[in-house]
Amino acid sequence: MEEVAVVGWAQTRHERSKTGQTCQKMLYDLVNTALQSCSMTIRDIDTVIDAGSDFLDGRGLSNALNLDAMGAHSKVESKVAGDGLEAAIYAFMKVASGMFSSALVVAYGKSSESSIRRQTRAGAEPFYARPLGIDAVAAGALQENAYLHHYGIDTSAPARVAVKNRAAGTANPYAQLRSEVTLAEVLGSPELVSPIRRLEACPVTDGACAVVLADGPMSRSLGVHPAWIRGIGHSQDAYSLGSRELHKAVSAKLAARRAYDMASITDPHSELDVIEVSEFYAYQELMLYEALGLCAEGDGALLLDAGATAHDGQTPVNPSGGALCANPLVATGLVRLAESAAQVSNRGGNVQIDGARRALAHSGGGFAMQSAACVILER
Amino acid sequence: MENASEEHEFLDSEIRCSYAWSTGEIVGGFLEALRDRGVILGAECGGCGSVFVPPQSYCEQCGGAMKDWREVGPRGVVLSWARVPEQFEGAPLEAPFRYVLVRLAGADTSMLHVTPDDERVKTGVTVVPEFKERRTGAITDIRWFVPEEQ
Repeated sequence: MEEVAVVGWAQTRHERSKTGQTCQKMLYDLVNTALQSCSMTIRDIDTVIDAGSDFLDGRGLSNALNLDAMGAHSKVESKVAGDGLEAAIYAFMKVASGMFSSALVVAYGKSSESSIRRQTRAGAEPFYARPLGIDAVAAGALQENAYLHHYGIDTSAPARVAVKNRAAGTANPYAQLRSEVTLAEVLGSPELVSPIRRLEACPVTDGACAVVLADGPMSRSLGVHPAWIRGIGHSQDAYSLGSRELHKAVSAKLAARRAYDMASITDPHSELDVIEVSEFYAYQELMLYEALGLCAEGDGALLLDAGATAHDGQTPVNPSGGALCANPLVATGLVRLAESAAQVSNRGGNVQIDGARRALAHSGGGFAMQSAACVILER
Repeated sequence: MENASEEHEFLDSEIRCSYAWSTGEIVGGFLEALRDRGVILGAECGGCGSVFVPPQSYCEQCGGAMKDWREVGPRGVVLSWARVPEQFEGAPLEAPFRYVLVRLAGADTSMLHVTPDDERVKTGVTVVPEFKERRTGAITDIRWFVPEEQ
């Protein structure tokens, strides 16, 4: 298997509504910026893998219209109907196989152009779920209550995740929400679907991310610090909420275990320097601490309150501010990879964790974290 | 190049598309029992014996196929709940109401449904279904679950 590294990346300024620009122009500019970041041109790219949502785009096979804009014309291309981090995993495999020397991964979403809550309702199974109007927020609320109740955790614990991540987001120039919030403001914000409060939910975001992968020889020839991909993992739980152990992020645990095995990581808390997770709702970050093996099951809030996941903690989680500061579906997980690559190559700017050598990026998908992907990067 | 004037900033569009989903033996059998008999059916996996409610044609745990119907409930225990404070398009009831995951007696999975916004609806509470008078063969033939009166 060939060595593969993340060598270049770009993300948009994430915004509530990126008006004045078609989705295609957003992608065109983004891809050019990503290629420039590693001194490549589109001619150096062997294959393109993209992640977009037909629902958000309002077209079937919506990639077809966007391929020319992202530079895929006449190249080998494929689409992932999931988060861009899953597209990055396919890209890794394509390059690792030796069939391609380089790959461009693009993920994007302009959630402002339709109604995101209606979109997630339309994603529900049609017989037993959709007639009840369930959406992503309501499914998350059911999971949060299951989690809090199972372990006897106070409802203020997720609010403290929101305070941490919003404070972190103030240093991130790409974040949509770049203002701090107090615990009282989070606890006093309106309930969307209880127990999820407005300030504990990700914002609605327009944005995109592009990442360039290359094999060992090409990575070493570009004059950049490659972020080597050392581990990948993916998994998904049962579709039906009622068939799962809802108080556990089972798919994230399996995805992380696969990535850790591949990267020979046995103690993630001490061996990972920084983690970026896709916490669409604040409680999910606590569950993910447990699933990623940073602490025992049910101890996520204790880990948070000990400061272990703060910017100056032993394993900082979401120094970028995470999905609570910008959620450009379906690029949110790929943004985690770009942030992780920036960290391990010491290009993290204001959000840089000093001396970060090894990072984990996580993506989630489906209602209540049904699916998960993890990628481990190393300097 | 110059920006378009504001009136040309957006192009409005809409997609409407109707569907008629095939229900098949399992989903169709479940919905028919709701409509015609006012009972809730589960399906038992021929591989591992798990009883799925609502029923599906396959078992994701062991890969088995369903072998028998099992009548379950009507009582069930709330495994989780979530309160919807405000009305939205597509809501099955007037808000406020609650979503619940209910483990019906005899079932190995739990069913998503709704309850009134009753303070008693919490994890661990026993609930019973109330069926609509006029039923059409839909999951909403169960109007909602309500706390069992002691």
